[in-house]
Amino acid sequence: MTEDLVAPDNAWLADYIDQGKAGQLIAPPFASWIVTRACNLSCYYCFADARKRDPDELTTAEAKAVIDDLADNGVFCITYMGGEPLMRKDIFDLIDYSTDLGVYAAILTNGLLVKADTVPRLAAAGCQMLGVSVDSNDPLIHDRVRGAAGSLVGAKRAVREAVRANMRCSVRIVVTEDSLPALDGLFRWAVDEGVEELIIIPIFMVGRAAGTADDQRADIRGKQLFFDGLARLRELAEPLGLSVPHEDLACCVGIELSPPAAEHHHVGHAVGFEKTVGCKVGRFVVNIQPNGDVYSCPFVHYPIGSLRTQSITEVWQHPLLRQALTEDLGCLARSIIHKGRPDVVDPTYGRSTAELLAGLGDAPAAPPGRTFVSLEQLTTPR
Amino acid sequence: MSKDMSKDAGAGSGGGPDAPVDVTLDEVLDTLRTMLVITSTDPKWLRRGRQITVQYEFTDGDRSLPYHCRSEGPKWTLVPGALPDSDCDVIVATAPATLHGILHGELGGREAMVSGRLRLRKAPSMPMLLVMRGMFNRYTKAAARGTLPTGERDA
Repeated sequence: MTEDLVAPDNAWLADYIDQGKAGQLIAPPFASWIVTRACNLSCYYCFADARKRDPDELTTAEAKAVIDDLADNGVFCITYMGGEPLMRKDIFDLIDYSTDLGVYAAILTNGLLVKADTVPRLAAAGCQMLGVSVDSNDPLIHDRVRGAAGSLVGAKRAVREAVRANMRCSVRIVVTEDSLPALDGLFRWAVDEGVEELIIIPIFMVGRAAGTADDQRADIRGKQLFFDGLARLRELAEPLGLSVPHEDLACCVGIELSPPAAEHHHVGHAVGFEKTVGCKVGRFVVNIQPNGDVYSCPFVHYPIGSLRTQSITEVWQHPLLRQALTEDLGCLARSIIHKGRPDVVDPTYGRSTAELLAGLGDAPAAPPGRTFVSLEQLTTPR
Repeated sequence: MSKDMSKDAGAGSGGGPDAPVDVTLDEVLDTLRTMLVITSTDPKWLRRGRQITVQYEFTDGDRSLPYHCRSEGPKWTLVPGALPDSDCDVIVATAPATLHGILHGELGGREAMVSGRLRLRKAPSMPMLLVMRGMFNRYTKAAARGTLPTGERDA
């Protein structure tokens, strides 16, 4: 299956992807890194619950030591995110450092701090992809979701600056009741702007979105919104020859906006990991927190190690990742949302929205305890 | 010989439809020398104690013209001829114009691979692939900043 993703002469690449799928790599190919929790916006769905800088955030030197370790072990793509990564004064230095070591560097921003010299500085540091999150073409809606007036102007300016500078650009949309009606307009705007990829993300009841007595119901509805959004985008994209992957798990999906015959179709992210649908935990990804703690993905708020004290190769052997590799657990984030722990099957996996909502009844569901289970519990047979 | 390779740099020979057609092998070799100079003088490279041997097999129709380079600390070499595969960390087969495009930011390395214009006849481990890509990145960034070294480029 992997062979069709790469040119036949590069069979080694297909082998590499297959090794990733089988969990045989010594480290994940991709790391997303919340380099700071400081943020100038306050989006209601922020999975990182970003607001201000954590006191134990990695220093520049510590962050570079982490980059050394990642590069030494073959982590070939780092996506710098936040919070707002541009609130770290050393972000250009960190990207420059990464790309000197051969790492593919991308940055996700809300765009508000993107000034005239920002994209050129990112490009000079070797940054190859800039992602901007947008909720609506309507500034009233976008700014309300973001909690700040003028934020849509900044986001759109960042997209335009990146495209103008010939930097690959993605637009990221968290599907909510606010953004779902806006998908038509956002899709057309992104195509017109020359954006390379739309990343569609479900809302997860973690971070700032979490904490109400109705998290489970909201999560189920969020999944349905996501599926509805994908269906709508499929209707928009397919007449243009663009494909929208089918995703049963309700996890992030990338939609390439350049047509299949275009020179750059599906090469922005290189080799095809992103085309593999389903959970990438234990196979392709980890998420790094501002203090160096590692999560299995940005939405699974469960620490599996720390790059302050461990190598990524050691963290990559964590029992939770091994379990996710060998058992079809569904979404570990939803396991936590619904069961309070990540190492059990996601109870929403493969079940319909109607069935799930009926199971909850009319009363708000009690939130599960969020006490993290210990390593011993994870390694003890249930 | 080196001047003749430019004619085959376009589509169908690994150069790609948008690749420049007026790139000579000498130009590409000169760029590789500059890349090796930049790497061998980078404090990060020296501190990390990396070394790498890359063989480039430049395609010219049915012919392949091999060169190999080695970078170890502050020392580097770039010479014609092939090494035993086992002595190479990476063996790259491509047209000069494709390599030129990558080194000048006109074409992504992975994009070249995915499209079949650049073939890794011997693929390295991913960490070693990053070492090679880091060398390319240093060059492209220096070129973009206008800080390419000038003058003698002998090893």
